[in-house]
Amino acid sequence: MIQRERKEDPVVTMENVTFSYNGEPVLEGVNLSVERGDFVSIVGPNGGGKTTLVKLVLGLLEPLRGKIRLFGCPPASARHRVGYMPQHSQLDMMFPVNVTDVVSMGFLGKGGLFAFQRRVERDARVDDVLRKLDIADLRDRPFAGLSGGQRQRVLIARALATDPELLILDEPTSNVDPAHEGELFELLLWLNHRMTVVVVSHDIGFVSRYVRTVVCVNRRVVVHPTSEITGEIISEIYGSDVRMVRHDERSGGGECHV
Amino acid sequence: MSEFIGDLAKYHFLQYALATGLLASVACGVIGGYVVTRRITYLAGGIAHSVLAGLGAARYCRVVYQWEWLTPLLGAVISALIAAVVIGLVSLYAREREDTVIGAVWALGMALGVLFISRTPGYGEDLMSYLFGNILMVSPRDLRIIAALDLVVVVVVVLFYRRLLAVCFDEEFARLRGVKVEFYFLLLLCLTALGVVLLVMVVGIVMVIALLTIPAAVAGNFTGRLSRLMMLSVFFTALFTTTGLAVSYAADLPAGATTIIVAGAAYLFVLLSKRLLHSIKFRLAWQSKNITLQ
Repeated sequence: MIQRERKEDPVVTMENVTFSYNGEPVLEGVNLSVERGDFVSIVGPNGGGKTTLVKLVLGLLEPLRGKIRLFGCPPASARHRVGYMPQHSQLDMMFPVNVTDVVSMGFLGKGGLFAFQRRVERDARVDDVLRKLDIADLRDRPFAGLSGGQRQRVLIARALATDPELLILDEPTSNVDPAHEGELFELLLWLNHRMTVVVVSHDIGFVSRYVRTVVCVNRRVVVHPTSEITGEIISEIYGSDVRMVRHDERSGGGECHV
Repeated sequence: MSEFIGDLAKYHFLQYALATGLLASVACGVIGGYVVTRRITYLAGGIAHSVLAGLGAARYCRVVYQWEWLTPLLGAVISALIAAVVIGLVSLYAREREDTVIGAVWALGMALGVLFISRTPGYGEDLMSYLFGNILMVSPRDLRIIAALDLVVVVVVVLFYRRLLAVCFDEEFARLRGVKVEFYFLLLLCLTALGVVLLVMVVGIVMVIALLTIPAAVAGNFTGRLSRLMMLSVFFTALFTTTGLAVSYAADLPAGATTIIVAGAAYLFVLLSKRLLHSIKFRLAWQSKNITLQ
């Protein structure tokens, strides 16, 4: 049976999804739907299952129970339409690649195995993406020698090189100083005009200022429009750790009142 | 040293030895780049030691059944490939601890090899040359097989370079791009197996790891790109094997061990000079800062 995608299909749907690592439940009874063009933030405490949720959507993990659809299809067959930025702590910082090498990886998988792209052509496209992100001068720099913020941008460039309809970024603000955090979100807002954006974060502070939908993950999942985020909701997600995640003062309030 | 160059013109065995070292350098420099950057040194060690099973079995079959076509080199290729696939499949699918599996294959291969050698009539001298290398025993026929293996490794790496790079750097991202990650991981292990076999001819089973990793590690100090690291690593492997051969010939020392000592000394030298340069730079910067403060 061929599943045809309808225009109004949500980008991501999860129905009653449960996942566990070695019998230890990580996510339970998750129901979720992400609409086309939305700007979503997935928030929750560390170890609450945010990255697991993303990996389920990408088909990198299989759910124990429940149904996941990406663009209306099983995740593994539609994930090439997603641009993904992993947490950069997952990468080996001693690996000998430069910025052009990393961004070129975004062009993989187009055409067959022997569809060689001319180097000049590829480099031109890499330049294109780097210029969009304002990092064209980093082109020949070793990836290992970049600052945290520069690395994030390079990994976003790689995700954009795949020409995605959905952009998923896992912790794009870790190791980035607050000044650059703002720039990063302006960039994501700009990208949001053309694609659905999902940002994973353990930091709820900036979320309220930029995103439209907040997905709260701590084993269970609760979805809120940003305007509904209240103190009770936050303490519900974070439990007794509320004091430690009071970012609203620094970020100037927004709609997030703790 | 002049004696080595003079004899090189005279003796075929010396020419073969030199050619073996140079040819092995090509495949091993390239594979060493992957082994070091992907951090699969222990895995390569496991494959190297399991090669003894192939060497022993091939020799046994030749002596007992007169299978002349089954040269020890061919036996080594077969056993290395089997070990690579077994370790790869188990670590991909069996959810066992990878290093435990490697350790088991490592020792099992050696045990099988020792059993075959003990059952083979005649002297057990070969065991020493398998373990510690005997580059002076390489035959023209071996040389042709080595050249063929070289060609296989280089062609495969050139064809799949970008995919292998993506899989080594970020497996998950490669998978999302539709790259068959498991296939390329196994391919990488099989290439490693071929590289290991070539080096067994040069320095023997026990010392393979050093010659597979040291040149790449040295090269890593001079470049931040895998392709260049591999080319430099080929150059260093050739340099170490040739120097090792020349020194060992002049001083009447075992060639394999001498090569490893040369490589190890070079590695130490590079690390120390890097450290020294770093501290000189730091001191200069500190001094100039003090001057401006005054």
